Amino acid sequence: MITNKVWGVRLRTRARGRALVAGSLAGLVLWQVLAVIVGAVTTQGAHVVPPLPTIFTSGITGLSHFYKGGLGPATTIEGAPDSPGLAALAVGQNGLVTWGRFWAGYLLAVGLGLPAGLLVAGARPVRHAVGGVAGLLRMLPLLAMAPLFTLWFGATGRAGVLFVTFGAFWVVLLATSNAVANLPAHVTDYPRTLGLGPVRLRTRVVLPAILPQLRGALMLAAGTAWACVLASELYGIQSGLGWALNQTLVYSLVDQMIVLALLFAGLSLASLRLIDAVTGHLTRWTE
Amino acid sequence: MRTTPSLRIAAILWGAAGFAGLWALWELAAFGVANDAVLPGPRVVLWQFERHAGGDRGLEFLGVEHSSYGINLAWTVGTAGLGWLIGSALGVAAGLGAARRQWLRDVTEPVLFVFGAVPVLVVAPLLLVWLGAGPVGKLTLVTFYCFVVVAVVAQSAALNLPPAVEEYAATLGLDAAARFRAVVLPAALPAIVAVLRLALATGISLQAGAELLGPRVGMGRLISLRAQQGNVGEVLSLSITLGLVAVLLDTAVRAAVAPALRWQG
Amino acid sequence: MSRPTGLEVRSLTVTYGSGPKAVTPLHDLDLDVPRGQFLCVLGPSGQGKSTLLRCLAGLLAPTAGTITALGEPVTGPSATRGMVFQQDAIPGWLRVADNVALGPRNRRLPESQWRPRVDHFVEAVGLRGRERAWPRELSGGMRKRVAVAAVFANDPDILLMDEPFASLDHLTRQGLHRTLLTLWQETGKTIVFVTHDVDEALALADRVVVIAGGGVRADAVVPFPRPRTDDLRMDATANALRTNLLHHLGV
Repeated sequence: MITNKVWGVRLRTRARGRALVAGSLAGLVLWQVLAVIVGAVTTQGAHVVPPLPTIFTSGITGLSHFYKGGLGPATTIEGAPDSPGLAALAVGQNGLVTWGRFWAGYLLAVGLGLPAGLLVAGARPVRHAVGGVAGLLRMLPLLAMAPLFTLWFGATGRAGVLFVTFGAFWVVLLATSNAVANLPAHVTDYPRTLGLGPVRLRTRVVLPAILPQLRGALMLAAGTAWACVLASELYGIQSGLGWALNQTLVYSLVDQMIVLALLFAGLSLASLRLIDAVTGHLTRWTE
Repeated sequence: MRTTPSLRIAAILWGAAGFAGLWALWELAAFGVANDAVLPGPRVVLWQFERHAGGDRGLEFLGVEHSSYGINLAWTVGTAGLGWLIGSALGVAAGLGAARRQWLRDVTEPVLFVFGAVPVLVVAPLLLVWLGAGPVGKLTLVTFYCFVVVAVVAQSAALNLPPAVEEYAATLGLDAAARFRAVVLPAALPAIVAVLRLALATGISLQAGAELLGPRVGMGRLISLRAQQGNVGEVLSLSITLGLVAVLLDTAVRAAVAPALRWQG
Repeated sequence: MSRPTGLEVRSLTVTYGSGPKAVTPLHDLDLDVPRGQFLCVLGPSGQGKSTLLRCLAGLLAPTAGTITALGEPVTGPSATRGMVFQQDAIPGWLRVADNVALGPRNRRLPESQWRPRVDHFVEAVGLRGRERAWPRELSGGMRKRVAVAAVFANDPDILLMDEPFASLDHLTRQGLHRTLLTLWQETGKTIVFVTHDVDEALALADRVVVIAGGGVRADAVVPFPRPRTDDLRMDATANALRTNLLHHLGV
């Protein structure tokens, strides 16, 4: 990268780590100020905008209620008091469930969507036929259809996973078939002259060649999948971070709500980072 | 790739064949399941639509003031559309601005970094507590969502402009403001249009999804009530109607911006 | 009175990066380009030719040294120094005629003042009849013609060309050489043309400089009358000059 100042045309910005840190700190300070003001002027204030110390104490220990037992210690229903240990168990238990639902649904969507996209892209008529249908299904109000899956599969983890797959599948399918359609002919012509058959051509040549184009779609699919996990857990399913989040809404426990939202955000950020790193590694030949 | 008229007609015909195929598959699946309560066929859903689109007294007993599709559609799509307009306008401005001014980038980066990846739905409960079950909370949610996705894409589109194009404009004498207008904006437009379309569809979905959590009006509210009644056909009818309206709006947006994107072919 | 200097480069130094990773493609370089001269800058890859041109265009600030164009110090890009890039740099969203009019239109002059110029240069580069075409509908050579017409239509004093025809086939390139020379003779602009091709330099230039190792390694006048034909390849003087230049290029 050129470090010399560029005369005239230097209007390009970059992400700065310290801006992220400063922004997060500013957010915390702003929150605390807001909490103090709202707490001073309204009676329910501390409840609606809890101050930071509340969030970091009762916001965390209060999560003990979401521990369902089975891991040794007694639950709060059995009389155990709130404690950081129980809260950690609660977060571990529900976080793991949510994390598992995301990956199961997402990987299933990729595992089905990629081969389906490769097949669909093989023939132009099929591509048009499936492309139109997928385009319409993509426009359905996905998040509002979570109840449908609970109706079909009950308020179970399976409903959540299938809902996630349903949401992310179309993204992967459409992106794959578009990427194959946009692939220049010479990419497949040369391996064909080497005598590669249709299956090996797709797995060894086409798939790696479209992967750089697919990276964005795989991230978009992951974002969609997280929204689906959350929607399904907010609505109907009785476990996971989303379920706990809905409980805090029902009982207006804003301090715990914020901790849960942060945990959820952390999980989804971590998974997206992981997907970015893996796809980046697989496409490192392009850079 | 150039598309000739005959190819385009073929594409439309095959697209139609795809829908016919979907319909047939659906009929077949429903026939196999043989239980309208679990998987009603497309004709059952259509019949549900005809029966309930104009309103349902049954729902009015459950405290739904307006049960016709029209009013609830207008409510859901109207709120989502307004949020989309406000959020997208702010998003385009912030995204393009952040690509050109470091201080703006520093300010927007934390928000875009987090919510570019984390589903915005996660703040829905907080908005419900703060702003109540009325339209303001959901409007804020959709506005915020559209702001984030549009800003992220607008920013990266402006940054992806090949430097030579802007340098070329500079050597023709265009100053920073003129380059922004004549080079950066048109270059980023295709990506911005694509994300505007995505944001509209997802915004409607988000609005309806947030309505599941308990307002008085809206398609999401109807879906949630019908789901509680176990009425799969009606849930499908409501979802598909909302989806079709989203397709119509998407088509309108695409047609409106088509002249500005003709250069791409 | 002697001809006023078009470009004056004094002690130009450019360093990229810092510390042990620092690279200095140009070191203490001096160069004068008289007004109206067609100068070709030759040099091996990565030896500072493009860096020099970017400094002349005002796109890159030198680490040290000064550049003066027509008596004015260079501090940034300006319409008086037009540039044709190696890459496709013309905006894809402007039709051919709008691309050629991009610079003049930006100055908010009445259309009657620039429209004839635009029409003239569209015609001169052979794009008559393609005014309404989108760049994507043109071949690489025709897109280069658009860039050449656009920079002439903007009426700069100095033209900077950064290996503009490097990616084109031989015949297309020869056609563009003829067009460029005709326009240069018609307008009398100062041209600095960067290339790594000795024969291209001999076909076009009044004078050739070789840049290597950070400075000017050779500076030669090209004495042949125009129009120059392929017969130049047989000419003994030309061959001697070519051998000499190739020697300085390290070939």
